[in-house]
Formats: sequence, C-alpha cells, structure tokens
Amino acid sequence: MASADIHTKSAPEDPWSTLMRAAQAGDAVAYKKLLGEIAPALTSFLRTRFFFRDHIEDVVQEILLAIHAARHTYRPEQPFRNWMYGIARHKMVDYLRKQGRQRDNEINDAELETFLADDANNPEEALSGKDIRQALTHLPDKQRQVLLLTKVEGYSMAEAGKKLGMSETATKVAAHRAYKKMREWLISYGYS
Amino acid sequence: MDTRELIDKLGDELAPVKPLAPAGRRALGLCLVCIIFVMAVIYALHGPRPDLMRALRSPFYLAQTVSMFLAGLLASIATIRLCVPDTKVRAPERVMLGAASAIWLFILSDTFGQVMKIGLAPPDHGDACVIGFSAMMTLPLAVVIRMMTKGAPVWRGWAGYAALLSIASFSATGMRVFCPNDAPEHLLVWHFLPVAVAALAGIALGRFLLKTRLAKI
Repeated sequence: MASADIHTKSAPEDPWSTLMRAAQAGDAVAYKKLLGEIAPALTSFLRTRFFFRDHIEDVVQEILLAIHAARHTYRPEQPFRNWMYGIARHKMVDYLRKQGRQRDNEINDAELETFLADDANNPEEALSGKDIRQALTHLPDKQRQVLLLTKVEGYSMAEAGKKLGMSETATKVAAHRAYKKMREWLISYGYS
Repeated sequence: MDTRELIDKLGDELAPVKPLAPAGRRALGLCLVCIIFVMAVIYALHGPRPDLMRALRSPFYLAQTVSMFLAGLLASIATIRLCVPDTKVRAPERVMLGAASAIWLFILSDTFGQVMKIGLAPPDHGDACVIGFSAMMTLPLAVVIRMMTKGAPVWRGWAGYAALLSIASFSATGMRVFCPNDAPEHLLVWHFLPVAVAALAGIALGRFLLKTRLAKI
C-alpha cells in the first residue's frame, strides 16, 4: 500500500497526475477513471489507520467530495499522491473529531433505561414528532440542516445545497447519511 | 449512495477548473497588496515620519525595519504554500515560518531588554499607532482570507499563523516608517506586541475560519 510520506514518483511520470490534469480541463472520462482508481487506494489507506471499519466507505466518499471541491488546487509540479493523501488525512481527522463529538452527545445507558421506562416513550407507539426531533438532535449540523431544508421547508436538493454552500451531489450524500443515522437511532430506541 | 454511484455523479457534474496560479506569483501578489496598501494608509494619515531620512541613516533602525519586512515576505510565501493540501508541513514552509518567527522573537526580546535597561515605565498613549496598525491590516486581511479560502489549507492553524504573521509584519514595518516615536517601551507595547498577538490570533482564526463553509474542504 502506498504510504503518504514515501511517495517518490515525480509528477510527470504519475498517471494519476496526468488524469488529474485532464480532469481539470473538464475531461469527465479521465476524472471517473481517476476517482475509480484512487477510491480503492483510499480504502486501503483508511483500513490501516482507521478504527471505525464500518464507516470506511463513508469517509472515502467524504474524501472524494473534498477532492472534487479542491481539484483546482492541484498543481502538476506537486506529487499527486501527496496532494491526495493530504486531503485524505485531513478528512479522516475531521471525521474522527465528529465521531468524538457525537459520542459526547450520545445518551448513556442509565439515561436510556429511564427513557424506556417512561410509558410516553413506549416503542410500540407510533413515531412521534418529539422522537423525530430527538433523533434530529443526534445528527451533525450539516446533515440536520439538509433534512430540515428538504423535508420541512420543502426545498429541492439543489436549492438546499445552494443555501448550504454544497454541491447537489454532496447534499444528496449528506441526506442519505442523515436518513441512515436517524434510522439507526430510532431502531436503537425500539422502533422497527 | 455507494461509492461507484458517487464517482459517476461527480464525473457527470465535472466542469473545467482553472488551476491555482503558481505559488510564487500568488505570494508576490499578496506582498504587493500589503506594501501598496500600507503605503496608501501612511499617506492617507499624515505621511511618513518627518525624520525618516535621518532615521534611515541609523544602522539599527534600518536593520530592524528591513528584518520586519523580510519576516513579512517569508511568512507570505509560507502562507501561500500552505494553501495547497499536502501530507505534512514541509521543510521549506517550516524554515520560512521559523525564520520569520525568529526575527520577531529577536526584535521582541531585544526591545524588552532595552526597556529593562532604562527601567520600566508606563508607555505613552499609542491610540494613533493602534489605529494606524489596524488600518494597515484591513485590506491585506481580507485579501489573505480570500486567498486562503480559494485554496484548500489542510493545516489550518499553521496557515492562519503564517497569514497573520505576514500581514502584521508588513503593518509593523509601515508603522516604523509612519511613527516618529522610537522609545523602546512605545515600540514594544504599540508596535511589536500587536504582531505577536495577531500571529497567535491567526492560529485560532485559521482553525475557525477554514472549518466554516468558506473553506473548500
């Protein structure tokens, strides 16, 4: 596996660098080929450094979105791998910080027991607005905003993305992750 | 959405982008903005100090002013280089930032030594210097933030530190040309300590600002 600090290939010999230059010029085929090739490399990079194995695909997607947003910052004189792994490392650290913050916000076992002992929180009952609001509070800011804009205020994905300074694709990915997290949270509270 | 699907979507929405200009050209642009704006502020206030020609004949004054200017140049180049993702802060940026910081540490400690030699005295009012120093930083600050957010710094704290050290160094150089007061306690409190404060605030600014939606990644 390529390590972030031992890349010795010079930029002109690196096929990824060539593909990236083509992508900067708008070549979609080269770009898809590049992303298709770097995704497995990023997966391997994360596997050796990342504790949350189940989240690797999420982080790879975050990295691909970041590479997409920052593709204009790549300069051919710089080794492509240094540039790519710089972004990968940054997104991995960001993800770990977010995970840490979310863990801090999680309800502990005692709180959960109290919550379930309360009849009002009987999981047999229909999904209430209160529970949905509660589930929303467990989402990261951006994901929560995406859901509120698209599901409550009725904006399209493109409009919500524009409001939040994200591309339509990034907004869809955020919404998808938000649904997944809300589902997991609600299931952990007994909803089927 | 799986990764393959995401790759297809990103490919479909791909638009050509103009790569960032070479680091040298961007650093030169930042330095020119700082120098021209600082000069404009000096002339907009009441012009350079009246004894400037005499002061320039003093080797100490000249060395100090040139050192501050050099610190600004080095920190500007480091700022621009730090705006491109990389796996670590590389040796050239470390050397440039280290040299700029060392210049300021030397200036601060030397001036503090002079103050101690003549005995601690409360510094005179430096309102005009604070206003001048802050005014000289306004446009360069906006420009450097724009440059940083146009790039994609992954070492946010370092980038913020370099950026603020750079523009504060140029402002302090301008203040030496503008303010005729050479008393060490005045220089220490109203000219040099603000540079240290600005540079340290830059770390927080970089970490905060480059985490918001202004940041590319």
